[in-house]
Amino acid sequence: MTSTLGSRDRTAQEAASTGRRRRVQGWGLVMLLLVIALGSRGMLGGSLHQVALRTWATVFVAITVQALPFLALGVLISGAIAALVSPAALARLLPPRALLAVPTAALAGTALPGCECASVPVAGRLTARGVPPAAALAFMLAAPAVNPVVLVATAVAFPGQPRMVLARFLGSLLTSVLVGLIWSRFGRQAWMARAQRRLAGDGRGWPAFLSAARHDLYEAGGWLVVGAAAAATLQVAVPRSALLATAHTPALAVLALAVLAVLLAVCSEADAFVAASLREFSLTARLVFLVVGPAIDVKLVAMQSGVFGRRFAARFAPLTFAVAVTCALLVGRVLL
Amino acid sequence: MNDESTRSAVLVILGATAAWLWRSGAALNYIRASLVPYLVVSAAILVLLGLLPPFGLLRRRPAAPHEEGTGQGHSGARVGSLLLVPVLVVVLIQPAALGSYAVSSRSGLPGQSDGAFPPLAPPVRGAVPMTMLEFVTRALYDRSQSLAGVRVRLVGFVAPGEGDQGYRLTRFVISCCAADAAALQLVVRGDHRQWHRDQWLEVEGQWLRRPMPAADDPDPPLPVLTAEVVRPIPQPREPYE
Repeated sequence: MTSTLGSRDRTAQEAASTGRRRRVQGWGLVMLLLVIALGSRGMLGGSLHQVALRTWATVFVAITVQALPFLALGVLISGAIAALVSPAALARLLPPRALLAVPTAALAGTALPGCECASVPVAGRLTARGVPPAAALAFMLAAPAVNPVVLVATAVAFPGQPRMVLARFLGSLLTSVLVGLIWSRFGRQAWMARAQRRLAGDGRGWPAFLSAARHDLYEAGGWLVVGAAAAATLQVAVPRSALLATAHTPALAVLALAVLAVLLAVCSEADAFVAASLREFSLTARLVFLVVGPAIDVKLVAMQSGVFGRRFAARFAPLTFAVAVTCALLVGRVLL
Repeated sequence: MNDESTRSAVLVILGATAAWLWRSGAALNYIRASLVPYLVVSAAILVLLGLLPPFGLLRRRPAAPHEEGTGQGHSGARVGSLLLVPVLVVVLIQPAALGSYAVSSRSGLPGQSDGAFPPLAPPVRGAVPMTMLEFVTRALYDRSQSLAGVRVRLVGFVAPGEGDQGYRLTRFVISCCAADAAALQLVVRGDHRQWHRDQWLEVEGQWLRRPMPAADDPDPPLPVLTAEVVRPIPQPREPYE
């Protein structure tokens, strides 16, 4: 505690005395980088003969670029939550008991037409505004999987199989409600310290909106880059053919597609098309792919550990993975 | 944050890079054309979020202790500068669209089809223009064999084939971004020129009629096109289908 206070004092003093200088240095550094970069445009491209490295660079940039719009949408919403919605109003929206609040929050996810990159900062902001973590997490898990855009994409990818759309909806909803309820029973506040410490309750209006949106964009964006790099690395390093060879052993196939969903980190609006092309797998195995992917993948682990903290991610990721696989198998058994 | 302005600079640069990807058309090497408008909007949002505060719309708050006082708060702030990494990769490497080198790890099949196919499009300049996806789907799954005897025109790049069977005309199909790309291929027969791999070609020819493979065949043989006219072309504006 003392050391925390000490560093806080020091930081405040430094900020006061060197704020201006730092600002100039910050811009200067960035400008220097930019000049170097523009001067050497495409210089490294020619030397990138390594097949793996070329694929890596393309996939890395693709994941980042594809996620930017969703990230921007997410931080505008999270900024609005920080600036316009009071904790009291949020509290009135949700039933007080977890047993009701968690399913309500999960169903509210149908209203956010984004992919998983949008819902992480929103959930972080909801937690900071006093929404019970279990409800915020249920929303975070449900939103990318049960919104209309994703469901329509699934229907297009699986023509003539409306059951797949229903199974995906139910599997993901069940996953988010179950994880939320388990978290409300066993989760600890201390694991999410980072989300609750942030910018809680300072100011309203434009300045607060801008400040919160910028903060979330900067933070979630940075972790998105980490996640995109990890996903690109795994895509290049793990041979897909090894995973696909498991197709004819049902138990292995389910596990393989669950792992593939985590490794590929495909956006939830595209994963139905990937699943549709995995023709050699059973429908149930492909349902597992669709339910696991939006709930947990390498990109999300990075973003969640950034927004909520590492201790949170270390517990939440395995829990979500296990629950998602189980729910998908259950729903698949009944419906497919 | 005591480095608000670094943050502004990073956001503006990232937004400018996104805008450049759109203007130069390079964005199409990474994402679907239908997503590009959203990229433009997000570029504008990034630039605005970066520029507004320096113009006085974000009052400098007194240091917020719960954010600045701890190591975690700082690491949260530092990680944002990683947003410059994709900018550097784009500027320095300018990654190209996925090419023949990525085919082996990403070969794909068209998704399910319910077996009903609309009539073929009318021919243009003597051949029916067709996407690789439509051609491969019809060749593999169309019970009425609508391709038989039809002269079609396809665009793709060259990937090496196996043995002396000719090269493979290839196109990546994406549903969102290059991370979900799957390669669709067909074997070109009747053209004995030696093309460099990754050379883009426009090929006119006819499908080599074959019985339909079993619907659940996980690895059906590649469709074969007997080429009549093969023309080298520059890479299309949209490298993916």
